[in-house]
Amino acid sequence: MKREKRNYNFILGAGLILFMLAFLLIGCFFTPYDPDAMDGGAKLAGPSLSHLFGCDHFGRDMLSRVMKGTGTTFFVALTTVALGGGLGIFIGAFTGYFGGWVDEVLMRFNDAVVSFPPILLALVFISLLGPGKYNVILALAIVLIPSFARITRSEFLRQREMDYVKSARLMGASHLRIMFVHIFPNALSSVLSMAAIGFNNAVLMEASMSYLGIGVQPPDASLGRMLSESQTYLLSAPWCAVFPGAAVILLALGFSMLGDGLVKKGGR
Amino acid sequence: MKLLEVKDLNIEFYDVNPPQKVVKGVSFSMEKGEVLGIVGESGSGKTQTALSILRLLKSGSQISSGQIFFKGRDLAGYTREELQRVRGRKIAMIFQEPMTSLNPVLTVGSQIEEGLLLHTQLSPEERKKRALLAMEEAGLGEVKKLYGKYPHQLSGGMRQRVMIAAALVTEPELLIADEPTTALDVTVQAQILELLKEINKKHGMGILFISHDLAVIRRLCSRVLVMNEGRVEEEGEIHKVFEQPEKEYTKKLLAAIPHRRESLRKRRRG
Amino acid sequence: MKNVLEVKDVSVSYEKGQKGKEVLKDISFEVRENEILGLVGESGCGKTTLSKAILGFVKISRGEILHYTKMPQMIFQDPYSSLNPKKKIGWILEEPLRMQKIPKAERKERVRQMAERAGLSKETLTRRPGELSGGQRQRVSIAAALLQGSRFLIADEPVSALDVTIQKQIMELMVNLQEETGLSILFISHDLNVIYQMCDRVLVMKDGKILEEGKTEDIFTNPGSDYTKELLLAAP
Repeated sequence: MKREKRNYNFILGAGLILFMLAFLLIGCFFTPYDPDAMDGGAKLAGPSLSHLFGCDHFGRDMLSRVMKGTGTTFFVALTTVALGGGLGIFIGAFTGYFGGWVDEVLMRFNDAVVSFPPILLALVFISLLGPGKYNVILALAIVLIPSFARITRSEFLRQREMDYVKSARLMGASHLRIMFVHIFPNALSSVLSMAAIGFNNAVLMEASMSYLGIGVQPPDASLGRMLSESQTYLLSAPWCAVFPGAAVILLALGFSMLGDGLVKKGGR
Repeated sequence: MKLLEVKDLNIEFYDVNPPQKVVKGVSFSMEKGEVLGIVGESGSGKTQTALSILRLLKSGSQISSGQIFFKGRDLAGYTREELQRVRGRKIAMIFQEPMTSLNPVLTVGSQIEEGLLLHTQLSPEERKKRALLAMEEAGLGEVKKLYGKYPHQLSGGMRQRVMIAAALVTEPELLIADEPTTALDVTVQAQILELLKEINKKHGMGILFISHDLAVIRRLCSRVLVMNEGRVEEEGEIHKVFEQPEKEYTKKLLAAIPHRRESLRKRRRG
Repeated sequence: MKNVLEVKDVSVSYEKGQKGKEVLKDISFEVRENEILGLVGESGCGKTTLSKAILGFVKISRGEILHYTKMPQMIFQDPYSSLNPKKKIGWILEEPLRMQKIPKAERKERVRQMAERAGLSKETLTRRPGELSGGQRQRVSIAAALLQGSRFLIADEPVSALDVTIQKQIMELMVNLQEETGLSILFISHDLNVIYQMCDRVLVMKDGKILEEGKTEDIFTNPGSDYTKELLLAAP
């Protein structure tokens, strides 16, 4: 029995993510205007009742574009974490469980990846693969692998010494079964909090890469791309930067708080 | 004047909902130089009772009512400084796990001297002399060599002897021992019990010995308090409690002790 | 009488090739069918290493270990680490049957029966280990070991972490189940009295060697080594 302190980080984070999720899901099926339709008469129009978030330099409706852009950014982050996280968990589980030379080889590879700043590493991959949404996903996924691998490995290292693992071995459970049916549920809470942090990083990195022009390519709407296009008009039409920026901040903040909240939940 | 007198002690965990009483109206007293045992299973409140005497309860628990008198004076009336002085000089405590109760980065000698450093104005040479003496009394051999060693270089039994030496060095009047032999091997356990008996005889130091193990209590104590679910079930002379227990719980506890009178096997093949 | 396990001249050393560093030295004994064999010794005597060697968790440097039944199941001292904290008790008990590819309906039925024999209520099956007491957890461990279907069990200090009244219940449970099923148990303990009450034969171990071996009554009334005498004196 313990006194439950309200986990505000978790509640607020989850609330923010749900809000953004609703926002982008609506954007998938309904936007006030066609996000790519240009209206010559509404170039750089300020927020009004007909265009709540205003219009950009081509006269495209910002609200529609932010909705679509949030969707793109979210999709990139989600697939990145799924791919990078999945691989990282797999590597971490194997290295932590088996130890020995498998551990040595994979962890040295891990160290090599970690020793570069993540954004630089992603840039290198993009320059090799070429820009585009799917290449961004691949590059970011590779960058995310080490952090997942490390946290999974440390959990598996700890758990494999537990007696219940020995019991399962004696019962005749296979290594794969022990790793993913017996041990993995015990590593889940730390992996989940890592996933939230990974999401956060992926959102920010996708935005930065698109901002630099090597991420999502036009005419696809992406929050980073929109920020980059808006900087020429930052003073004359600030709404072009404010709304996509706010969406990035809310997504990143939501995931970051969710991550902290999960750490607290797991740590208890 | 009694050495220690506990009157209607109540302790509760207040950080759970609803607050949980773990010690419910416990009263007992100890004469000077007496060896009193408190026996009980986990959750009986025996450790909380012991910790509360030196005001060492963990955060989240508190004495909700009751009084504890040490040599006739209520410990609640002590100032922080007075309490500090009592803790080091008059009442000492040893714990179950000698590895975690010793600081791994300090030498054995310096940890034994700590009490003297805090509570006396003795010179370093005098402190060392007393520390070595206490170590000899605690049954540690080659004390000069041991003086400069670190806890991890010692066995579990030796660590517990170091703890006892550290407790002895300030010549306290009461030693509270919380399961001090539980983590030790049986042969070492027997030696430590002998040592405590000897010290009690020689210095007239009172010992409050807390254990889950009735057999251990029987070897050391003259009187025993049986605790169960925060209450004192039975109190009395050790032989009386063992031979003619009055309460059902005590009988159950006694019946459960493993012994060598009868096997559990119905048909042990001869 | 047949044996379920034979250990012949087994030595184990953690550092390769160094004879002086051996933690087990030429250990030989057998576990017979339908007996509880006690293994008594103090910390560091090698009793846990021996159990690990029997189960193949530790490599032996010399000698051989012959199993005449399925791999034994193990019951551990710490009931808090021996059950997977994230799984329900029902799932944990079904796992050994799942390994034997037993269909779901039969699994449920056998788990229910075994739980009852081990003194676990139906509600317990839907709980997780964190919600059980130490004694209940040890009952779960015993039930899981029996469901695995081996004729041989190794119990490493299974009652040392328990309160005396609970300890007694678990000892009685193990004795009853042994007498019902006729399986063999290697019962490791530091507590001579527990060994006395449970075992048919006893091995006394010290410093990696077996000092003596014999029927429980004989060892306790007529100890052959000074060390055994000392142990008997220390634990009245």
